[in-house]
Amino acid sequence: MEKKIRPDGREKVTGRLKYLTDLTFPEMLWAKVLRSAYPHARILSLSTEKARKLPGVRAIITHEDVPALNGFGIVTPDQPVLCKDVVRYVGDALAAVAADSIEIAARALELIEVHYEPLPVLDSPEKALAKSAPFLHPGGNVLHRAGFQKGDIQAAFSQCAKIVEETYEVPRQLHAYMETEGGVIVPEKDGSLTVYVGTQHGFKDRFQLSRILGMPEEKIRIISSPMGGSFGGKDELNIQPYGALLALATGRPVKIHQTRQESMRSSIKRHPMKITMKTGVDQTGRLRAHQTTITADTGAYATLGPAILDFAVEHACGPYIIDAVDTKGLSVFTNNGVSGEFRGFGGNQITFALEGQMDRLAAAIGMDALELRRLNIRRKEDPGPLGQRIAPTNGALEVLESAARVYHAKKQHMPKRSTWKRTGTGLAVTMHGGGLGFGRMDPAGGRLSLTENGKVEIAFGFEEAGQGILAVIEAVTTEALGCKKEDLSIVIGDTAFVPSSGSTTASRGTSMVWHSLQRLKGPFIKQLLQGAAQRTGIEEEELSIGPGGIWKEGRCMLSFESLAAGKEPIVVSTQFDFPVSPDPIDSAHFLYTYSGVVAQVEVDLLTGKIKVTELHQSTAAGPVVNELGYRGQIEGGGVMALGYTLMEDVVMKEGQYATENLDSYLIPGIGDVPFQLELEAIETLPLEDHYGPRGVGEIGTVAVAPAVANAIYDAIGFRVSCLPVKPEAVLQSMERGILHENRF
Amino acid sequence: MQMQREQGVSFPPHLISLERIQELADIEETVDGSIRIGALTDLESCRTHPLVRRKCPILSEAIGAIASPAVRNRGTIGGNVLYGVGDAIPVLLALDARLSWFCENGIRSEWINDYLSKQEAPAKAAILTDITVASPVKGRCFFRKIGRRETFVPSVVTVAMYREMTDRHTIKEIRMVAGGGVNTPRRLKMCERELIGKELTDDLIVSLSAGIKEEAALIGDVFASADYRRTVAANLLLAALQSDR
Amino acid sequence: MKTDSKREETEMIQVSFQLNGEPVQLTVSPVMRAVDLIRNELGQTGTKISCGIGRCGACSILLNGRLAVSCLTLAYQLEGISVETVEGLSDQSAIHPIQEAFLEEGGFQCGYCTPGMVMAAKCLLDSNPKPSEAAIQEAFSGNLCRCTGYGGIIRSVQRACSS
Ligand SMILES: Cc1cc2nc3c(=O)[nH]c(=O)nc-3n(C[C@H](O)[C@H](O)[C@H](O)COP(=O)(O)OP(=O)(O)OC[C@H]3O[C@@H](n4cnc5c(N)ncnc54)[C@H](O)[C@@H]3O)c2cc1C
Ligand code: FES
Ligand code: FES
Repeated sequence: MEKKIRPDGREKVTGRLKYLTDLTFPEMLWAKVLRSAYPHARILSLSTEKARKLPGVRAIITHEDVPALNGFGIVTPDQPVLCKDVVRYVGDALAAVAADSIEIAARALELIEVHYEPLPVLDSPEKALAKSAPFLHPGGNVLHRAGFQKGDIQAAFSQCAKIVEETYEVPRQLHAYMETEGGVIVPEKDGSLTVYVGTQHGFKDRFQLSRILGMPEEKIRIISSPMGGSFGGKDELNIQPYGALLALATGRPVKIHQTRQESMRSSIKRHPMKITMKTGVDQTGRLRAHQTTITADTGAYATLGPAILDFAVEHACGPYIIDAVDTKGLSVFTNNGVSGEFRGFGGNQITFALEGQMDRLAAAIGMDALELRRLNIRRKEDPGPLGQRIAPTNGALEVLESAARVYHAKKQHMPKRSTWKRTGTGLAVTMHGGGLGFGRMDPAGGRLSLTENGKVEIAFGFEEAGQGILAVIEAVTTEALGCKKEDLSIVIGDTAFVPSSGSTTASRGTSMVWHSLQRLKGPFIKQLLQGAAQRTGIEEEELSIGPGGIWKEGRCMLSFESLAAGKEPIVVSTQFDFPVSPDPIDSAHFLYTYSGVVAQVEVDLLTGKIKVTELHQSTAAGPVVNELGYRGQIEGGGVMALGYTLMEDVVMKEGQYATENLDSYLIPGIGDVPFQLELEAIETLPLEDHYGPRGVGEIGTVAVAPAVANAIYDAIGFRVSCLPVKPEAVLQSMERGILHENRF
Repeated sequence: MQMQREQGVSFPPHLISLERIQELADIEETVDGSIRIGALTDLESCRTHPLVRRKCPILSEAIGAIASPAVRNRGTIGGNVLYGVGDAIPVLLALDARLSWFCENGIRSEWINDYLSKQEAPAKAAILTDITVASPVKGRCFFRKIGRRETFVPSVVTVAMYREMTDRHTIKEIRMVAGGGVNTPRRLKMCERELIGKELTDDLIVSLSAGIKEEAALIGDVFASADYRRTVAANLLLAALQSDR
Repeated sequence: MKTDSKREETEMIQVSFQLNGEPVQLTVSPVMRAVDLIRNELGQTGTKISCGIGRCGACSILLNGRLAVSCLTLAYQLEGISVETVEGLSDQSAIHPIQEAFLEEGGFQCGYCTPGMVMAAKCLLDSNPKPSEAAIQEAFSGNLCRCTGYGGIIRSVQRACSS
C-alpha cells in the first residue's frame, strides 16, 4: 500500500496550523479557574470581593452565576460546574475569573477568599467502602457494580488440577496529551455562542453546555478540531463551562489555556484498579474456572466510570474459552482525581491481570505458556466473552501464531549475557471490543455532497485529535468514489456544518467512516451519473466517476465543476447505528480487534531497572486504510503502554497530587523506546465479513504491559503483579534470593 | 531559578545578570596543565569542549547525563554546582576540583568538598568565577546516574569514583561519591579510608557494602526509598571496583 | 505561575533581535518569557507550550543556531540574538527538507510536539548530517511526543539525512 501523506500534514510540520489554544480575538480576555485547596471539605464561605476590586478584572463567577444545571458528566451530571457546599477533590472548581491579562487573572485567584472545613479524606476505595466512611454522593460511595457469571464456578474449581490466584494493581495514568485543555469562547452578536475548544464529541459538548447555560442547543456552535492529542481525555467537558459563563458575563471572547499543573489537577485519568484473579486448569491445560474481582478507584465523579467497569468485566476472560466464569466489578467514589475515559477503556487493566495468569498457570502445570494459550484460545465461530454472538474472525488465533513466530525468533537471537544484565522475552495476546456496546446509544452518520463549486464534500461529526481521522476519511472516500484527493473537501469538527456521527471514541471512527461510505456511495454516485448523463447525453451506464469528474472509457467527459454549475447541490446523508451483537446482552460488543505482543527486556541487576529493547505487535483489525496512520497508532499506543508499564503513575497522597508536572510524572522519552519498533498487520477477514476495517486507536495499548511483565519473569524469575514495575521491587526480589549470582 | 518561578516562587526583587561577563565563560589549560572552566560556561559547551573531551572525558560524560541539549545550552556549570544537587557535582568531587570565588576582598579558592560540606559561599555576595580540575587525570574514573527513565530525568542515585593503584596492586588513592535526588553528593570518606593501602579482594569488596549504604545516608521520597537508593549506590560502586580490578 | 504585585511597577525594557531573519523591536516586561513574547506579542503560534518548565521541548527554538526552550528563556535574553522558530523554515512556496521528511514518514500525529521536533532535527542535522542512533537519541532527549512513540520521528530524521 502506498504511503499517503495526511491532509493536515503540511500545516502541522510548518507550524502554521492554528490549534484552538492558538487563537486570539479582538477584545479577548484571559481566564483562570480557582480549584479546591482540599480533597474533601465543606465550603464555609467564599468571597470574591477583594478580587473584584483588582484593576483589570472583568468578571468573576461562582455557583451563583450558573443559570441552569450546575453539573456536568457525560452520563450522569454529578460534577458541579462551580461548587457550592462541598468540594470532593482538588480539581473541583469554586470560581473563575476573566481579566485583561493572564497575570491579572492569576492574581485575582489569590485574592478570592475561601474558608473550608476539612472533611475526612477517602483516598482509597478501601477507605471509601468502610462502614464509617462519609458518603461522597447521595447514593453512597459505590458508583457502579457489574458482573458476569457462567457455569458452576465452585464445581469447576473443585475439578481443577492447579489453581493460581494473584492480586494485580495498576496505576492512575495521565493522558499527557501535549496540548493541555483550552481554547476561546466567543459571544456572537446574535446572542449565540461559539466554543472553540477541543473535544471528542462536539454535539455532546453542545448538549452539556446547553443544559448548564439554559440556552437552546441551536445557539451554541462547537468548533472542536484540531486537538493536540486527547486519547480519551478530552471527551468529558473540561474548561468549556467556565469560558462560556465568563464570555456571556462579559460579552467578550474569553480564552482559557490550562497550564500543565492546572491540567494535572483537573483532568481525568485512567482508572487505577485492583484486580484479583483466581484461575484453574485441568491436567491437560484446559482452562476450567476463572474468578475475577475488580475494584476501580473512580475518583470524585462518575463521568464514564460505569462503562469502563463494564468493559473490564466483559474482557475478564479475554480471548479464552473457559467453562465457568465469575466476574465481579466495583467502581468506587473516592476523593482522588477523577478517573474516566482513556484509550483502552478498562481493557488494559484487565488484560494485564489475565495475561499474567496465563503465564503463571502454564508454569504451575509445567506447560509451555504459548501452548496453554493455543489450547484455550477462541476459534472463529466461538461466542464472545459474554456469550454473545460476535462477528466471526480468526483474529485471536492469527495474532497468537504471529506472535509465536516472533517469540521463537527472538528467543534464538538473545543478546549475549553480560555480568550485570539479564535479558528476557515475553508474550501476551488480547482482544478488544470496538464501539460502545449493546444497549448504548451508538448512532453514527455522515453526509456526502457535490457542492456548488464542484467539490465533493464529505462531512462527519468526528474530531481530529492526531489519530489521523482526516487521512482515513480521505483514503476511504477516494477509494469508494474513485475520485482524487484534490476533488475532496473534508468537513469535521464544527457542529454548524457536520452531521452527528457519535463520539470519536472506542476505536469507532475508522470503522464508522467506512460504514458510512458503504451506505453513501451508491446513491451519491447514482445521482452524479444521472446528472452527468443529462448534461452530456451519454448513457448513464457508460459513465463512471474518476479523478476530477465523470469519465467514459478512460476519458474525463465532465468535470465536477461543470457538473455542479448552475445546479442544486447533490446531498446524500446516512444515519445508522454501530453494529452490535444480535444478542441483547448489556454492553456486549460485536466487532473486536486482536493483538499479540512480544517484548524483550534487559534487566539491570545492580539497579533493578528495566529497559524494553524490542517490541513487536501483531494486530488483526481488518484492512489497513492508511499505512502511516495504522503504524503510528500501533507504535504510539505501544509506547504509551510501555510508559504505563515502567514509569507512569499519577501519585496521590491523601488526595493531593505528588506529581504535578512532566518533571515528576514521567512519560517515555526517545531513549526509553526500542529504536526500531516492529509490527505486523494481519489484514485478512473472512470472505463473508462485511464490516470492513476496524479502528486501531486503542488496541496497540492493551497487551504491552503483560508482555513486558512476562519478559521480566523470563529474565530474572520475578513475577510482576504491580504496575508500574518498580526497580525497587525488582531489586528486592533478587535479594530475596530469586537470583543468587553476582550479589554483593 | 525559572523553575522555581513556575512552582510559584516569585523572583527576588532584583536580578543581576552575569551573562555578559565573557571571562567567566571560557575553558582553558592552566600553566600546570590543569583545566580551568569558567563558572558561566554553559553545560553543553563544557561537555563538548575539546579540552574536556580529551583530558577529562568523565566530566563530559557526567554533564551529558544532565537534562537535555536545550537545557544544557542555557544552564551553566557554576549554576549546576551551586544548585547543590547538580549531576556535575559527583565527578567534580571525585576529581577533587577547586572552586574560585570573587569576593569583596579578592579571589578566594577552596576544594569543592569543603564548599559542599558547608554549602555556603566563602563570603557574602561572592561570585563563583571558575572550577579547576587537576590534569592529567592519572587514575580511573567512573560515573553513573540512575533516574526513573533513561534520559532527561532528575536523578535518583548518582555515583562517581576516582581510583589510583600502586604497582603492587594496592589502592593508592580513592575518592567515592554518592548522591541523587535531593541528596547533595558527598564523599564517602570512611569507606575510602577502609580501602587505602589495601588490595582489592572479593571479600573486601563485599564487606564494604554495608559501609557504603550507611555512609551514603541517602534519603528517599515517594518515588524511591532511602533503602533503594543506598543499595543501588553500593551496588554500582562495588561493581565498578570489581570490574576494573 | 505567581507574580507579585510589586512587579507591575517594574520598568518595561526594550529588546531587539532578529526573528527568522527579520528585525524585531519591542518593549516588554523584564519577567516576560520568550515563549509568551513569540506567541502572544508576535502572534507566531508555531512555537507551542506544554509544560512551561523545560521538560517537554514543545517550545523549542534556535537561539544563534543553538536549541533552547523558550519557556525558560526570558524575553530580555533575546537581545541582540538571532532567533529561529518553526515559521522560519518554510514559506508559501517551499517547505524545508526536514519538514518534507516528517510528512512522508509520519513523524507526527496531533502535531503539537512537531514544531519543537522539527527545530531539534534542524539543530542536529545542521551540525551532524549523518547522525548515529545514539546521536539521534541524544538530540531528541529533551523533546517529548505522546502520539507517535518516536518511531515515525526517527524514520523522518533518517530520511531527511539520506535525502
Ligand atoms: C528542565 C530542566 C532539567 C534539568 N535537569 C537536570 C539534571 O538532569 N541534572 C542536573 O544536575 N540539573 C538539572 N537541571 C538543573 C540545571 O542544570 C540547573 O538549573 C543549572 O545547572 C543551573 O544553572 P543556571 O546557570 O541556570 O543557574 P541559575 O538558576 O541561574 O543559578 C542557580 C543559583 O546559583 C546562583 N549562581 C549561579 N551562578 C553563579 C555564580 N557564578 N556565582 C554565584 N552564584 C551563582 C544563582 O544566583 C542561583 O541562586 C535541570 C533544569 C531544568 C530547567
Ligand atoms: S513548554 Fe517549554 S519545554 Fe515544555
Ligand atoms: S505528534 Fe502529538 S505529541 Fe507528538
